[in-house]
Amino acid sequence: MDRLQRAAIGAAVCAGVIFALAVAPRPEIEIQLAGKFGEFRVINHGKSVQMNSAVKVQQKVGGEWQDTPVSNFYLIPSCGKGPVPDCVSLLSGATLQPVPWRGNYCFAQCVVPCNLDGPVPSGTYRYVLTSCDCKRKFVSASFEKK
Amino acid sequence: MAVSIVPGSASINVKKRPIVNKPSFRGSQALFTCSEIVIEGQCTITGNQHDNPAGWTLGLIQLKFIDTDWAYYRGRSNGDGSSFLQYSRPPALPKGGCRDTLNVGGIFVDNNPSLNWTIAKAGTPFPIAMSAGFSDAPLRPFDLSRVNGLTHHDNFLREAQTELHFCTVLSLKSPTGTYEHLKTVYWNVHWQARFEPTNFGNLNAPWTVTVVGGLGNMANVSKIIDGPPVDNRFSTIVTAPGTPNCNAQSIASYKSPNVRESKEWTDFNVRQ
Repeated sequence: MDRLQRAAIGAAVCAGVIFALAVAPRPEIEIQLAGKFGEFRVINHGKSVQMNSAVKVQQKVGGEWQDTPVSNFYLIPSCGKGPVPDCVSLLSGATLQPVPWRGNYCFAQCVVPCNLDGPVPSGTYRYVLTSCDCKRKFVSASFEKK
Repeated sequence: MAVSIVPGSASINVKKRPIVNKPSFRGSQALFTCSEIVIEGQCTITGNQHDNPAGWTLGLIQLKFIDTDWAYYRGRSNGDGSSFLQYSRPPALPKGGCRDTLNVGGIFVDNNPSLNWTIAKAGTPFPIAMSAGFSDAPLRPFDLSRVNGLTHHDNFLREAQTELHFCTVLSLKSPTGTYEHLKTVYWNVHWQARFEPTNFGNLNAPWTVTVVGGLGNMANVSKIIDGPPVDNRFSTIVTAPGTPNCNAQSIASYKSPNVRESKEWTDFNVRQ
């Protein structure tokens, strides 16, 4: 009996692994790239969550993802609505379409008083979001900057 | 023979000078913008066959040493009051210069990694030609209106001024972290303009903009100076680890300017 139970559990675990290999589970937070360069949507398929409002941008360099010094880029639906909070709530099932990334380092999204700025170089990039407690990380698919 | 700079090989060229633009508008903000300045520097290092060039780095260091940033807002009528937002005096902006990098704590300008610096590699035969370059176009935004906390009425952007003065240094860094400042150039961008809505009920309608003449709207580039900056306002902060970051400072000052408000139209002292 004990042997049968172990076999059943083993089969179930294997089935789970096979299932996971066949169909990648949908992430709790999906970062969906939209039409034009810089546009993206954040969809919460899980429970309500507090997200860090800062959006990080990483570049693929030599096969490795590296942080870029893109700043002033946030999960905000529009510009000019006052100070950006450290965290934003994303309710279960909600979709947020932030102001797109412009492809610049400093004037990345909304106008800010930049002293030094410029466009990031051509290459492969992705967005990285984190939960407000920094325990979970969510990445977008890669995209090209010309 | 240690690694050294070939005499006369160091130079800075300002390939493109900045030009300040007439104020423009984007959403609920007026913008001071300019065309980019493009600066390139070069030098050649040499040594003997036993010297290792690995790690010698040529780059550009940029400091901002003068910042004037203020905006004056006025209500539609005298009773709506006025406000003065000072972005460039303590506590909004601490005294002293700052270093202009994207990475906080960085030394060399870092907004175009493929052009910003040259790092010599082991095994490269001497002499080694090195180059460094970048472009930059500072900008400032000003909200078109704000609510006066004393009168609780809208105050509208009436006048704004920005003056940014930079010092850019071509510098050679040794593998042990010692910097030799080779050439220096100073440059600045100035804007000043008066604003008035043509339709107070619709700020998206065109505004009347009057640029203030004289030195108010212009960009300047100095001649190239041999060696390091000597002015003690910034000679002590060129590579100092604790030098503040310019972008971080400016963004913080625009989030929390020094605000003075009045219940009537007031001529504020813009120097304070």
